[in-house]
Amino acid sequence: MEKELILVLSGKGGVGKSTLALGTALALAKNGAKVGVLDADLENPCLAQMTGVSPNDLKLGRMISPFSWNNIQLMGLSFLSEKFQREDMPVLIAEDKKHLTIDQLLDTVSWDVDYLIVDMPPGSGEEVRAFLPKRVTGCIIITSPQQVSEKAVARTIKMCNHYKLPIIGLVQNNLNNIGGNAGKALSEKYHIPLIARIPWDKEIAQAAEQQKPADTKHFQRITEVMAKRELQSCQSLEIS
Amino acid sequence: MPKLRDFLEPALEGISRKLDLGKLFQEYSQGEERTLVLRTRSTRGIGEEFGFYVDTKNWQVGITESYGILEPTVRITVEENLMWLLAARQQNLFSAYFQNLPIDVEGAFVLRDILILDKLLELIHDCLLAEGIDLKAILAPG
Repeated sequence: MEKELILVLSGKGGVGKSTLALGTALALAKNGAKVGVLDADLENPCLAQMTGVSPNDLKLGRMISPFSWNNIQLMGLSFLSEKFQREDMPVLIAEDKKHLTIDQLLDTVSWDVDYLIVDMPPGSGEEVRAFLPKRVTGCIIITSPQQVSEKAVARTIKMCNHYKLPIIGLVQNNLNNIGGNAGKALSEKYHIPLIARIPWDKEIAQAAEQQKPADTKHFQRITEVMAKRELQSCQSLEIS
Repeated sequence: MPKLRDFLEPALEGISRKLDLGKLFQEYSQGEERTLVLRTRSTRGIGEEFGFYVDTKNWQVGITESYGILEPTVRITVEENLMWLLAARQQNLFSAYFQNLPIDVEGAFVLRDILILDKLLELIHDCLLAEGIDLKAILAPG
């Protein structure tokens, strides 16, 4: 089958995009799907660090082989050279080269997947535009509960509408117990389903620190939504 | 100022003697016939231009001054100062590209090809060090 291309987006940094991308991928793999995760954050890639995969094991053939980790396939800049895991290695690449790089990470990597989950950088930069010519199945937008995230994520929703990227739904990640309900507010205001609330879970946080797979129980609901093809009826609304 | 090729040419011969290049590049190319050229461009007016090449059809690496013979698939040009960084392994070619250092890629930009050429540079560096040649000191500006 042609792979489903799912973008994990947020206007706000640090809200858990990578955790959501990995968790959803692990849940899909647990259900028997072939899944890959592409780290499209070119400036601050983190999936290699979160998974403990080493670029030393890189396999270059006719295509670049993705890494295998807990039954999911992984690729991104930090998987290609350990220098991208160093704090003294800023990525200063020009915007047009970002576009080319993402094309190559999609087309010259031998993905063998039903689902390719893309862990996007925060914001609405060139990395997002690189996916516009692709057949994006849908976007999962993640927010923290706080108001400061709400405004940034509202802009992400408008960006998806502007680019006509279908929205699968919103996920609220309770990064802490401070409170707030940005997910519900955004869902009601923009008529987008709030498909999951990830509670504060010490085990999820520890999994990333310890480079272990997180428990998939909090991500199963997202896979159910995807499996039921609810995304087809979850078209984003035009917002004036 | 010593010319780069005076040091690199014997280094490449050394690599050819010590390593099974056919096996190495067969692993990378899986039978695909490609020629990759890394060309240096002097920034100090010496006018020294040459290329490393990796010819996966004939299992050869070497130095060339005439690109017409090789018809490279991908040609990557770096300036001499960047070559110094590469020689010292303070950078690798791949990360240098993403730091917007002076490196031009002619033809298709293929991540895999940059990674292969970077492997070649790494081998050169290691061979020189093993023979007691510190390319970093040789290429240091001034």
